[in-house]
Amino acid sequence: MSWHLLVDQLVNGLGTGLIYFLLAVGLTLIFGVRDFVNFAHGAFFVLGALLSWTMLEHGMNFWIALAAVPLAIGILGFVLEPVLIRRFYDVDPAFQIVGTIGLTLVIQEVATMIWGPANRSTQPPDLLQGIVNLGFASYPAYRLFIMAVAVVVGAALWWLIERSKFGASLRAGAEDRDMASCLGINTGMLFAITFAIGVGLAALGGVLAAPTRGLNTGSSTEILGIAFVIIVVGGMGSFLGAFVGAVLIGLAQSITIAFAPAWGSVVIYIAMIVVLMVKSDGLFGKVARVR
Amino acid sequence: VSADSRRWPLPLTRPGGLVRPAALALVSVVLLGVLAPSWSVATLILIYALAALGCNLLLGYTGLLSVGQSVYFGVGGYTAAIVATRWDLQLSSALIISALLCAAVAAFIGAFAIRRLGIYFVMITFAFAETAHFLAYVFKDYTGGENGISGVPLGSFGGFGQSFFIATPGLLFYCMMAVLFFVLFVVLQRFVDSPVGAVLVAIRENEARAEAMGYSVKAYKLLAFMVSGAVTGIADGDHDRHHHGARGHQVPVRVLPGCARVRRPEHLPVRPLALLGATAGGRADRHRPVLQGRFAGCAVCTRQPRHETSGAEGDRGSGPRRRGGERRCQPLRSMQSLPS
Repeated sequence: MSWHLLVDQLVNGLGTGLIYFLLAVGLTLIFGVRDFVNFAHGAFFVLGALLSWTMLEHGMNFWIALAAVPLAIGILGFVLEPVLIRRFYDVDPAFQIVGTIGLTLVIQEVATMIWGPANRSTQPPDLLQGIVNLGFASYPAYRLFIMAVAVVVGAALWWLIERSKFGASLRAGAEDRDMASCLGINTGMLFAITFAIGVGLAALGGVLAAPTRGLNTGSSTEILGIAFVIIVVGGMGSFLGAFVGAVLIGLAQSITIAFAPAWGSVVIYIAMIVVLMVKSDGLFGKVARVR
Repeated sequence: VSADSRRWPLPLTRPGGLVRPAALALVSVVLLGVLAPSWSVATLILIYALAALGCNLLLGYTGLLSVGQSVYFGVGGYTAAIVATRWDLQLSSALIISALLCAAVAAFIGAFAIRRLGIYFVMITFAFAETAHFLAYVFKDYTGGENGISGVPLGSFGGFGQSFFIATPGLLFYCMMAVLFFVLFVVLQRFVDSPVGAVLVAIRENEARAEAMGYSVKAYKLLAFMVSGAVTGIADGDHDRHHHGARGHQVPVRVLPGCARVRRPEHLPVRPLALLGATAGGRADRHRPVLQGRFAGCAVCTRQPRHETSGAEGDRGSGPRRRGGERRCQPLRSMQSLPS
């Protein structure tokens, strides 16, 4: 294999990894706060992509869609949390999973009624079309943009969770719900906002991914699968884990594709099984949370 | 205490326990044939019902949520199709091979999965389901990749080169499927009523206690996995006859909505409910979006009693946090009526 191909694949892998980070971070956020496994995450991702497609079809600006769609899905999540999601917090994880799979199917079928089963992809904005020469490799400008967004989102989330007052309440609520509410924190509101942010991030990922690949209403399982691989490898509920896991999985996938294209997706799931068998809480998981 | 023992979901001694469920299944099957809009839809419903039976054994009786049931659905379908097109075997032999292979695959996956609990258990089954899905694309030469396998012959029954009965699509295929469903239903009913079935329920109710009673929890879980896999495999062994071709993208969650509804056997008779669940799912292929069935899946889940954290902690043991506190404190008496 030529040196150039390997460098190309490494850059590709890093780019894919950062996109994957956007995909997984919302999932890990929701799990980290309430130990809630959101199997509907992929559906919100696809919903975001399809909404942005509709907006662009109606002649709207890409940038408006980029801001409006995650906000809309976030509001949907904010409404959904007290109506549906909250009922699942205190039951067996099996019910959370079956319930959110049900939610996925509802979203999927409604979306199929609206958008049909065909693949939908959008055009990147004019500003970001073309290829940028990085010196050691050339890379599409739009993918560089996604990488930048992922880094910015990561930094903003880190600040929000680790440095802001909201983050402090959130961590307190995750640590000890009863004590946090005794201290006057509105934990119900806190979790609703967390869920809204989580699904809003999924929608953001969907809007950003729509120009790079086609998405249809059936894509949610595939998307969800990748997100789960990442958060399992990185450690469920760990913010840093989602980042490291995403980059590792992106790299592993693109390097495997260079050698054996068909095995690219198989490899990451085998990695997931190995991590689960060897160290269930992943690279950065909190041991105390493991049950 | 007496109030608690009333909640024991499956009475261990049930006079005439087999007759009533079997009669219900028979009536359901006949009614389905009469009421369904076409034989094809009715057959599909039975196929999903069969898959739901396999799923229910694992989720409803043993308390294990496997989101990887699609693996057996897929393996069963591909095996039956490959065996029929390459070796020219009849449906009867293909189904047996499918069931055995699915049991073997289930044993393999189960051997990994049962070593983890709760969410991690589910994650392992999920990872295996996705691995299997993508492996179907890797081994294109056998599975046909995106195109699937075509030219699968009609289902014929017989052996030693003789064919006694050929199930042409329509009424005949439905009848064959109905008989198969009924037989497997009765077999499974016997299985869950057997001492082994009682142990499976005990594991669901309180894993730590079942282990303390001396049962090898892992072995029983593995057994449930294998039986469930075999039944699900048989379901799809029929499914591809029905559609004349197995496809790789039978997505993992296909059978699951049916299972959501059969989670709590103590609330409603299990099997007719499974059939009902599968009914809603099966019609999906005719009228594309079937919201009512899927909403129902959500609705039943949300009606689950809340987990009471207080009081459950002390009794949790090494088992997963699973059920309400009062359920954890089942009187030992009801366990003692288990076979040893």
